[in-house]
Amino acid sequence: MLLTVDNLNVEFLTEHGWVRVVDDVNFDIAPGETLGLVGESGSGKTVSAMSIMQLIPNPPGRISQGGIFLDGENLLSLPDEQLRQRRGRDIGMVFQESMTSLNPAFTIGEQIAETVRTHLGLSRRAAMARAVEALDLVRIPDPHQRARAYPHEFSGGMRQRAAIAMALACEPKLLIADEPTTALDVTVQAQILELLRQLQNRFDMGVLFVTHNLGVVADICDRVAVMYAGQIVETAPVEELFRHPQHPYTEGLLRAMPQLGQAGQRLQVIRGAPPVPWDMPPGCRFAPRCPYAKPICEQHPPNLEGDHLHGSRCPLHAKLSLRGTTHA
Amino acid sequence: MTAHASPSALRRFLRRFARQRLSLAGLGFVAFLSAAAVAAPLIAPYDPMAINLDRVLQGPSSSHWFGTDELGRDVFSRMLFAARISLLAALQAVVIALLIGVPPGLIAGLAGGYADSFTMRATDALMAFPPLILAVAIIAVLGPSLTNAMIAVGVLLSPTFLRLMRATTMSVASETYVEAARSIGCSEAWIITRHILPNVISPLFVQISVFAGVAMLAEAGLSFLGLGTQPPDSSWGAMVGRGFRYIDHAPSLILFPGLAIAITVLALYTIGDGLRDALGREVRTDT
Amino acid sequence: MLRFVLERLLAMIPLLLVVSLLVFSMVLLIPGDPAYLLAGEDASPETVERIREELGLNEPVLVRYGHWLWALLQGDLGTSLFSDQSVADVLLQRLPVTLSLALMAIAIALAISVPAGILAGIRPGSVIDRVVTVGASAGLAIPNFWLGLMLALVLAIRQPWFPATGYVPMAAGLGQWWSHILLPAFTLGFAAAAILTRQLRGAMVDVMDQDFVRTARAKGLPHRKVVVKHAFKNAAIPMVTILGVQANSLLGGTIIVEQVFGMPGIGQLAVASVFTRDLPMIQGVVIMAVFVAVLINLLVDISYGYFNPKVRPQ
Repeated sequence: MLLTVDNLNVEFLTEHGWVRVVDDVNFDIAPGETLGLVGESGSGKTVSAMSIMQLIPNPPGRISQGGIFLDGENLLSLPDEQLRQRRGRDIGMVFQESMTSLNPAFTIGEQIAETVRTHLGLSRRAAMARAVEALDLVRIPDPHQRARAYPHEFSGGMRQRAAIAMALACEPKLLIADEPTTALDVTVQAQILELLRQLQNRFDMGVLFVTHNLGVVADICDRVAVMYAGQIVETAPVEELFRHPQHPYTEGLLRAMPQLGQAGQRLQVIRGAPPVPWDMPPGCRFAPRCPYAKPICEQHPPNLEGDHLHGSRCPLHAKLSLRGTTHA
Repeated sequence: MTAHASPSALRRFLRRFARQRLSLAGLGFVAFLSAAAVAAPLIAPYDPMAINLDRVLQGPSSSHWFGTDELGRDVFSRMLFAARISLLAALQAVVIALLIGVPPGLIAGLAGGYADSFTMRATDALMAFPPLILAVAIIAVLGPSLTNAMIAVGVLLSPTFLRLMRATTMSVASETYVEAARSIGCSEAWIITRHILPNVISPLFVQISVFAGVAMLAEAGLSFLGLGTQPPDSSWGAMVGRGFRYIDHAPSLILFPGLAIAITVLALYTIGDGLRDALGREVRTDT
Repeated sequence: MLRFVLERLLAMIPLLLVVSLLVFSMVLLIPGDPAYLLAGEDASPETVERIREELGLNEPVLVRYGHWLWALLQGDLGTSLFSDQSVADVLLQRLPVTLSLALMAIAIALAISVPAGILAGIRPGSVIDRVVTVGASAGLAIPNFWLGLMLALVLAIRQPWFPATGYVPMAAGLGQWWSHILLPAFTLGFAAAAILTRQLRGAMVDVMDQDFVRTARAKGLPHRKVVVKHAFKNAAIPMVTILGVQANSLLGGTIIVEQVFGMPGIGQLAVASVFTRDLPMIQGVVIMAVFVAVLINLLVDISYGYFNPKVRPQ
């Protein structure tokens, strides 16, 4: 495995004391594979992704338990200096807001080149040439010229391309993309996804794709892990998850997804709101909103069950026949 | 923030201020100092003018807490009396700055157009002068005296009040309820007293307490140079100026008045910080 | 870049005109007959007449302003009423003292505030942060003349490590110049250092929370680079704005510091001229001070473009 996240727990210090916002999260990614991490905001998906790079601000956050293995090496037990050398070199990261995640005070070229200088020890000139190559790779026209531009001189889509160029400049083994297309409009979004797919094939990267949008997942991912209230509630290959969801929350998400060729059909929204992390339901965390909930659901916290292909945290999943979709 | 809510908004603002211990300590210190200055004739252990040539330039002792000056006068007693001048002078400068700054700021904010650009250019010009140079120039014209020095300091501080008034007035005047009030025929005076003044009063408080500190420092500096307080009166700054000559023999002549200035200014700034924090939350919750 | 500078200079002309008008009108604002007042009570009628002529008081106001401004543009600031020297000559002779004092003070203020502001701002609430915050509050409240006297007392009088007074030009030896300028420049720069530190600390606290700092970390840059390169360059933007204002008030502060350390600069001249009622000299001092302030602010404006590419001329 390229990346193994093992029993990850993350806590934040709030006015209610330490509360767990990521609870016993497990997943892994093979080289060349794309895993989609899906959930609403507050589900813990971004915190999980950030934890891999240990970018959770501390205080108030801390990784209280677990292991994060890159090529078998536990990143959590690495000294700071060695961890720093993995960041940007072995793992690249692309963030949601390209406007704020690029530094307004430096040129795009410089921001790419400094990564290369840091990790590959290239000279200033060679690093800049590499930056121009990277911009060319993400299909920014006239990359020589554009490398000298500042972020505010780029459009949103171009900035996100530049951010991808920056993350890929050192040809990392793993790319973490945190809602990289959410802030873009739909046509640009499609272009960026297509670009990511091509680059992934070219470099045989593993990709962790964090999103709240199941449509995007269908487009780009091989496997999916669905998160709810800090836990993974279901994990399966994309096709399988869409066709045969085994958790009522996943079914709810699929039903809330607009689908082509089904105009006029009313979208169904999941009723209620997710629980707050300092006041979790004692049993299944989705039970208070679940249309199928039985009294047993509210008694014991369920485990993620099933094989490595398809797992579900619903204690009733064998008895329910949930409806999927053929969209994927 | 509506005009009707303003009295209670002001109360909330003051209540939040009251929770800031450091600022309250600052306020307490300034109040205590003011009381001591007022009561100076009653509590001063010596007559501040009483010359005693047998005991000149002495260091602190149990009979003279802060020592004696070159004429054998008791420094502690003199400082109590000097506190009156230092505090009053700071107050005077701030009042002058308010008088010069607030009305034109109000007019510029309400009238806009030429009146506005004229006042803004005028404040630009005033702010182009290095502040103390401008003060010295004004004193050169009016002649060295404490009042003239404080007029100069008031002029220096006025552009900030003007800009604050103008900005607040402009933002309030563009609110719908003010336009509505105007459209139903309310007079400008009514709009100013009912809508604009209640909104500007809190930020004005912040600026006043900070500027009281700035004015006190400016007075001390000018009096140190001999351009402010004139003998036989004495402020803390003037005391340092006189003590300058005896720095080698009696450093306490400089030490204590200087400390008094620093502590009082710090107290005034701390009040300002507390008011600003109280205000900051007000702005955030109301928008 | 040249165009940017030229545009800024052109934009300053109206401001400088207003300033010149204000400075000129100082003569008009003197209560009573300025000539009598300036000459002193027991001056002869001839002296009064000479002063009247000197100030051009016999002509209409606008004509006088025109003459005065024309002379000013040619570098003629008039003649001192006290010493009969050319005001411009006296000022130019004293300018190096004041300028080196002010520039050194700015350098010292930056040398203190940049590291202090960064160290405090990256760990708000830490011990360093508390020490810096308390120090900055003290720096704002301590009167500079008092700070100067205390430094002189401890480091020049009690321990003769530095000369207590005077000034030695740079040409006479860098070491000598340095030892004479250090205490006064520190005294003058301390308050500015406090203000800049507070500003920079606040900006660093904000910037360290920004997304692009997280990106810089995610790229695997060393901590020092994340802070000093990525965070500081952005946090410096508001600081540069404040620096312009501080440079201005620093120039004013030279008046006091030159007095404390007995430096023969323009500030000392200004105070002396108030007592000798040497109005042309004061006017010259003010004009010169505003001119220097405007130049320093122009430099600050130019450096602003370095920190903030969004305002850079295309």
